[in-house]
Amino acid sequence: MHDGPWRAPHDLVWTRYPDSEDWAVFNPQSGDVHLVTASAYFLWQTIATSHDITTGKLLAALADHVQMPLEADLITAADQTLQFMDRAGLITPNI
Amino acid sequence: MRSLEPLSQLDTAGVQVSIGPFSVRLRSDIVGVRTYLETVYTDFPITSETAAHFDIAIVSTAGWRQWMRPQANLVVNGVRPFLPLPEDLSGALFEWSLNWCVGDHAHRWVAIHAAVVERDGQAVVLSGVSGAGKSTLCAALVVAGWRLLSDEFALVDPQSGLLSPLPRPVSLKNQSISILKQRNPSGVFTPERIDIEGATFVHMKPPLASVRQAGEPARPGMIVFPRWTRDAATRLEPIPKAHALMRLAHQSFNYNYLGVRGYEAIAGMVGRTDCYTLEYSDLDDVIGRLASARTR
Repeated sequence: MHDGPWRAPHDLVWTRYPDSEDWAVFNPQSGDVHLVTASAYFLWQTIATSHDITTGKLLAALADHVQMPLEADLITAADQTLQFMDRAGLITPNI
Repeated sequence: MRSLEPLSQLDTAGVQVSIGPFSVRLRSDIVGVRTYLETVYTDFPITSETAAHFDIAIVSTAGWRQWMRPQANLVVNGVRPFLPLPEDLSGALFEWSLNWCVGDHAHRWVAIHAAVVERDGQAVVLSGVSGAGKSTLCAALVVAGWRLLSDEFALVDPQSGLLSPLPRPVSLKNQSISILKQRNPSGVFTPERIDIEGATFVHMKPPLASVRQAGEPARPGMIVFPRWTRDAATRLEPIPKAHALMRLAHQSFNYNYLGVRGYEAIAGMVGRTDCYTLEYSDLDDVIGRLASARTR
């Protein structure tokens, strides 16, 4: 997993409806729409509002947000989510 | 019935056919095209005017091909987008060329692959991949008295959020043909043909009332993702709107071309409507269910 820091494009268009926790997000750069979980949106929002946040701090913030211990299952799920968001252009390593 | 006298110019200067928001200039030297128009386009405004959004020519191949396995060639705005097809598909080729024109060029709207019908001011968008049963359901709803907006495109106006009608002949394939002929014994259908994928198809003439209301946009009320399943009991179940938005975006021809404006048009429509998945096999049952769900 990339250790960070991460950065988030600010031109994404996020949509959430009251009937579920999921978010749809439009990436104007790729022209694609993606369906993501509330946790993925939290990760993006945290990256977008933090300066040069590392992956470790990001995972700690997520564990605190979902009120779960920062254990293997959560780390694996968060890692897969970050990889997906990276591939989709929703976040990018700030190298 | 209106006069089809302008069709006498079909093989020379061509004719202008008004189809929903589009004016189409059509020229053809193939008798099958004229017969097709005389069968399913008799209620459409056909004039000898020359201005048009799309200039379509369906012309026969010259030389020996006129006599042996004759072909129909499509020319749209001076470009040949497809290879020639057998001449007995020339009428259907007009519909396929219109699909190509709208899907590739009509970027004033967000174009979604969907059938749209309307009753009492609320439109139902039926979206799904080919073979899901949306055209069959659309045709059955139209025969049951719903207004046809389109069996191929939901045209969403990004400014108003309304759906622009594009009523045209309804395409039916394989088993759907006999089902709809039974339900609509006085309906007008083109002769059966075999398409390039081997499916038997016809086109059903759209109702006069739908053609006359082609200038009246409709407000979306429901979005339904139908799937025909043999012997299935009707199941109309809500789907999370974010999931509906994803599915509609994937069925859109041009939302990404329109960028944020296209995305927001679809997202806005989803936000203002009820969204369902539908599994069905019994058309009468599903027509009743859609009518009652719509008025809830």
